Amino acid sequence: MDLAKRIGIATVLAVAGLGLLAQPALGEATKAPADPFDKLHQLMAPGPNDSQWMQVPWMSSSNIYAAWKKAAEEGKPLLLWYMAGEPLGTC
Amino acid sequence: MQDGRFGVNQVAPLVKENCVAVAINGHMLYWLAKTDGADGEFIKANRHPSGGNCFVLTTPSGTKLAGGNGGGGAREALNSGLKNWKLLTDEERKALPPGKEVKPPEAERCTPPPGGLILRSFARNLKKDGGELARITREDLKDRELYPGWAPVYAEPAHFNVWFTEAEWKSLVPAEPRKGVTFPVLDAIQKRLFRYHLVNGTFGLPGTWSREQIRTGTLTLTVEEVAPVVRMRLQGAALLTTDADPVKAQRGYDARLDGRLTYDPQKKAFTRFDVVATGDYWGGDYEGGRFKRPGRTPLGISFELVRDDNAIDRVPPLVHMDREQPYRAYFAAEKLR
Repeated sequence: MDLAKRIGIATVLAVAGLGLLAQPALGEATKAPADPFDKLHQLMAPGPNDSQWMQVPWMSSSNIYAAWKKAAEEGKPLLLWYMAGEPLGTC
Repeated sequence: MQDGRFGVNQVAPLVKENCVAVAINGHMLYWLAKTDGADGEFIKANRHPSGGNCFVLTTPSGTKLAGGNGGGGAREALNSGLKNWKLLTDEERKALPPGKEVKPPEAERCTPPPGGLILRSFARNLKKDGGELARITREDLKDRELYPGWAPVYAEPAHFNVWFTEAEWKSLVPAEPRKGVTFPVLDAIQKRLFRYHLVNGTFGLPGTWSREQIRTGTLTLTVEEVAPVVRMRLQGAALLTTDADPVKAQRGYDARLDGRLTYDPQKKAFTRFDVVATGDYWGGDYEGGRFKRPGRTPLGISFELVRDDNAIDRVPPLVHMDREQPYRAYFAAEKLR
């Protein structure tokens, strides 16, 4: 069976299983600082349940070449996140 | 921006474990697709038909495995694509695309200035709780009068980066520091921070302030310690409004700034650059003032040195930094419109 056909069959199976992937536990809360300035500074930072997307080691679109080399070396597929703006910054 | 940063928050652990993740800036996509090198071919073969905010899972050689669009797009691409990935042979998984790497010249403007300094910034909508500033919770958002049309992600911090050139950040270090001496921060840095970084980007694409919209603005450094490291206190304030009369202004931010900077002469580098801006903001988002809270409500913006050298820390300060005019304007905020 060729690659395209195998992908087509697997897609149907996967769509049937949407939503079944488990969500691992989120990060732990950081300790509150004593210094009022530090406390205020930390108030703006992501909390333990915020901005989980930042935990992913993203690579940049200005270096696609490095990304596909890394993927081939690690034996992993690439997830491309497209946005009209900048996915990792302003959207 | 939708709940959970377009659904990526919900699948982040899965992405981290199973994929090499690449964020494709829309402007870079345009330039990449125009190159005739391997990068361009790869990108053209892996567009999702929906365009806009979408996700594609692909092999290193560029065989598209699955795609998805919008808030559930990441999960859709992963669920289908990872199943397809498992069907491939080891050889298929490790194949690289033919052709040579070709980077578009516009990528240069999306690269931090050589020898420069990068700060990361978090902007967060806040509330007052017993006179103290506090984070807005999901429970708070149930009050639709106080938070009209808000998605939960608007209570999360929005992330941006700040770039200084080498000459700019070095201007912050006195040649012969003396305890108690106060001096003004370089005008280029002041205006850049006020115009481009004291903005509310929590609802999506942030706007900027024009030079005229800086109604008042000061930023000074005071040397507090000179050895073994130079410790400085940054203090300032800025009133940024769309109308000269703040009462009539559709949008505004009345910010006070406080900061702690440490320069290590041995390392010839700042080892701490923590700054906080807090104050009342009004006006909602930059697309018609949506999500506007009643009255004037607290907005906090923090700045600190980046901690790593990853793609997030190197994201350009502006979404259209690839274009020459915005690039030049950013680095001449005190002169150009």
